[in-house]
Amino acid sequence: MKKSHIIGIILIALAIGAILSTFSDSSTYASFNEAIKEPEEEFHVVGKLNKSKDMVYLPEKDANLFSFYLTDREGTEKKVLFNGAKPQDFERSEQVVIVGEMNGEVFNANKILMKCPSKYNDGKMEETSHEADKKISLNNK
Amino acid sequence: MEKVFVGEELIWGLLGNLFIIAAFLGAFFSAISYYFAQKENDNSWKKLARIGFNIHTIGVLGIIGVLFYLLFNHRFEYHYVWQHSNTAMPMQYILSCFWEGQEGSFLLWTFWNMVLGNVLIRTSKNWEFSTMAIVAMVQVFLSSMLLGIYIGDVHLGSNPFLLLREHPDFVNLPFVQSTTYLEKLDGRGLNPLLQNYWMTIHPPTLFLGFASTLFPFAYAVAGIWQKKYSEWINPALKWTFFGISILGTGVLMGGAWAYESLSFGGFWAWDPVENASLVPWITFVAGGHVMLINKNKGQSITTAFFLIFITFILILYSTFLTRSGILGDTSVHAFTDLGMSGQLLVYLLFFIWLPAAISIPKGTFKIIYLTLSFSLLIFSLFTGFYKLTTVLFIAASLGLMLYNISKATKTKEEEEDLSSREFWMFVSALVLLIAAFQITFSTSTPVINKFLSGNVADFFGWLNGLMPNALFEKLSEAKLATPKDVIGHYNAWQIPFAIITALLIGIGHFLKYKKTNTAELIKNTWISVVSSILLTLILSLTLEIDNTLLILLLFASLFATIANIDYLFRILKGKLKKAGSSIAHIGFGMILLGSLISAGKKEIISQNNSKFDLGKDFPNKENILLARKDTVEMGDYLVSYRGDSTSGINVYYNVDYLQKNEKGEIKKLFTLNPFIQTNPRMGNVAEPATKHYFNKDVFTHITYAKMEDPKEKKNGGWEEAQDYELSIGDTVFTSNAMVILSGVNRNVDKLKNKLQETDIAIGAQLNVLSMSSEKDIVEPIFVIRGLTSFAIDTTLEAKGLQFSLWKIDPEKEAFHVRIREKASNAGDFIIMKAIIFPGINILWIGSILMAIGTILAVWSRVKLPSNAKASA
Repeated sequence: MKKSHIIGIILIALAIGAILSTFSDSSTYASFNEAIKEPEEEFHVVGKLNKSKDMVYLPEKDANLFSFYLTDREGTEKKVLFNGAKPQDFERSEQVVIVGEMNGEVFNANKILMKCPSKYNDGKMEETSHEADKKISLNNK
Repeated sequence: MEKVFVGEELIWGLLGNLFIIAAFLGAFFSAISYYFAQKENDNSWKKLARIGFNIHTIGVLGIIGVLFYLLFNHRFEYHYVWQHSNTAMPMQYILSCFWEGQEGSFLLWTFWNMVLGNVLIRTSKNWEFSTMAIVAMVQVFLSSMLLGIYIGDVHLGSNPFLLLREHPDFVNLPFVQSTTYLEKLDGRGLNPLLQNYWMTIHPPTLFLGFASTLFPFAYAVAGIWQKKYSEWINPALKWTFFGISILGTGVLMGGAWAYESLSFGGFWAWDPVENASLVPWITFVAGGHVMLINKNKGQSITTAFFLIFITFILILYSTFLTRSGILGDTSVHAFTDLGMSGQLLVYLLFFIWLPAAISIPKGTFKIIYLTLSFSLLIFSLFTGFYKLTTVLFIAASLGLMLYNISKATKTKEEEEDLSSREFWMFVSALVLLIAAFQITFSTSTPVINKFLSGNVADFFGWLNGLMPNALFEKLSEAKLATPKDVIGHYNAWQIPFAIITALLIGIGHFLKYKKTNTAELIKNTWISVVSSILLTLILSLTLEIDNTLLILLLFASLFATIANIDYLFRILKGKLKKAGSSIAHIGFGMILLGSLISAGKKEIISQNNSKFDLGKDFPNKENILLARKDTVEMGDYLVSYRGDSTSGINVYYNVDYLQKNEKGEIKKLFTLNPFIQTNPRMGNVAEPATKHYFNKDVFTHITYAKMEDPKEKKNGGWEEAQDYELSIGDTVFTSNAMVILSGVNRNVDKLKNKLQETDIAIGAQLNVLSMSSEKDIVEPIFVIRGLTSFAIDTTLEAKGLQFSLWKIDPEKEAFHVRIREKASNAGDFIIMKAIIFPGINILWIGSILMAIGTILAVWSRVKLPSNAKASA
């Protein structure tokens, strides 16, 4: 076998590996009801902040805990606990994507993506992302 | 009758549009003339073509001039000016306004292509016709994006000179119907986030990098066209390395910007927008190195073609990803601006089609390809199967082109020796290619969802029915989201790739073309290897790196750096002429080293002892609460929040960093002012502040602060008093402290308190403990003078507390204490995050060295074109 063939095979194997790892590592968009069915799985849930219910953030007590109620696209409402500081201007959000998993009747979010009315484009949305406080370290891998 | 609007200067828009048309038609005319000049090798066509490009040049410069005039003079009747600037904005940001919008950034891109095009005309000699035909064609596409005309239902381009009152968002609004609407009108202004120097220097650099990928591409297409399959390499090399330098600088500047002024908490987060600009750079670097192999050994020409093409295409794909809104959220916004994305897609497909079409030798096959691609177009337009056909078309065209090139350049296949430089250079190019592929594929999940949704997903649903498994099920849902651990996902692939690349970079210069003598190789590299191993040991022990992959990366990056330093001084003897590539490689090694240390060993010092735990998945609490004037221990430091100050739209929070010295004295080290940019329309934005040391950075940013209107004014800023009835030993809480009645003083110093000898005075001894357990003792006094009584208050300014003993109940032994708090106490705290990045300066120095080294390599190539023995 020629060297070029060996290299070619390795290359193709790596490419397939990269494709498969993208699919297997990727999370999934889901509704609360779908997320309840697989409580250990991580999902992205798209929904709207319920502004009529309480948003609780008591930094004096715990600067890393923020809770609110979110209504998903199917209309299901769940309480969400976010392990981080309350994002600036959270009240203004039009649409929220939360990333995390269901824990009983509560959704534990580790990331919040929100869309706010943009300053520049009326009618268009601007997106910001808020990570929970997880140590992002090369060493954890 | 035509309405006349007061104060409008319509002439500028007219002029601007004239320039747009000139730019568009000039490029079109130039492209056609260059085509015929090449085809018929006729100098009269050349004259016309150059005139065309001159018209294009004048057009582009004209558009830019007019747009600047409008921005400078606040001509808000123009939508672009209104949208991106206002009268309050400092003039130094006018450049940023210029390219903040999509039209402006495409204009910037067009501008750089035009500038480099003019350089190409003057330097390309007998390559001028063919390369400039391609460049002019690209300019036709780019300037069409500024046209802003409707052809049927299709909106072609977006015009920067559109009037506000004619803009689709405004045309029906009542205020623009008034003839005097301009009198009260101010613009919306530049996004405050973008009002910094990065926005002034980053886009031009990045777009110059984008523009620079066109030129090697133009040479490559010209090479196919003229059937000079490897002759194009030599003149294109300097363009390639110029581009690598600029694009690399642009990408790193993006990282530096994110690090300096955004609250990412790092310089690289594998964010889609960052990835989109990194990927073409990686393939560009790979392409440049394969071009060098070909120049020196005449091999691997097909790979060189492929890499240069893919770089150009990836730039367009990146622009598509970041501009089309597809990354925003896959599920809500589809293509918000069909005009732009559609046009970009046509642009992209055209430049995939063109080289494929000209790579086919004349004959029936060419006709078949042309017919086939045309019918594919018609088919996809009418049936809606455009996703599959597009992918099929791209794959087939690229494959066909590469096949034709490899057939046309077929030489006797000579197996490279395992010890040859060209073999390992080729391998490293492939590693870079696969690294680029992995990043692109993972970044493209929204595109993959789009591709899957509908009939492709149905197909996987059907497959899943046949052979149920997790993969097919996932694909059939077409709801892929970003990985749970984004950074971990990318690092798992990219760290091994980085290790291989760094090792090859280290050894590369000591390998010889054709065959390397093993003994000589060992003799040349053993010092670097041994010293790298030693340094790896020392560093991994002191930095406590225990992950095998990271230790390997540490070694590889040290080796890349040291071996190239060794080569530069021992073999090249520091000769600047040939030093370019060594310096660039030293820089690259340092970039890896700096990233590894700063990201791998970054330490979040703002750890908080939390009272609430969400469970195993959420182990770390990284935000800390600081009350005003309170001092809290944090890592090796003590931090103290001194209060805030407002300047313009920014609210600065003054955070002192203190440290205990050996004698136990607390000394202030430095003050950081992280701030929050207030922006009622778009939302407030927190910007970090960083203290730079030579070996580490202390990065601080506000995660939360109460932003209500100050209530300070009422009652001199004092809240309503609270009454407490206390016995000795009782404790009460204020919002920032704990107050204990520790005892009673019956021997109050009357002289000091200006009391009379006959007065009866009793002091309540209150211990005030704040959150940092800093202790103050205060003593408010109750005085009985004859038949009357009064209180002497004590104020603790530092904590914003006032104490008053106003009544004593001797029977119950109760002391009535009244405490008033400063209104600011309640909300006066910040929540912040602090991170230490060690060794980040290695990264920045590496970045600068890489840019300088690459430019040096280009410079020596331009200087000595004939005897340039490739060493980059």
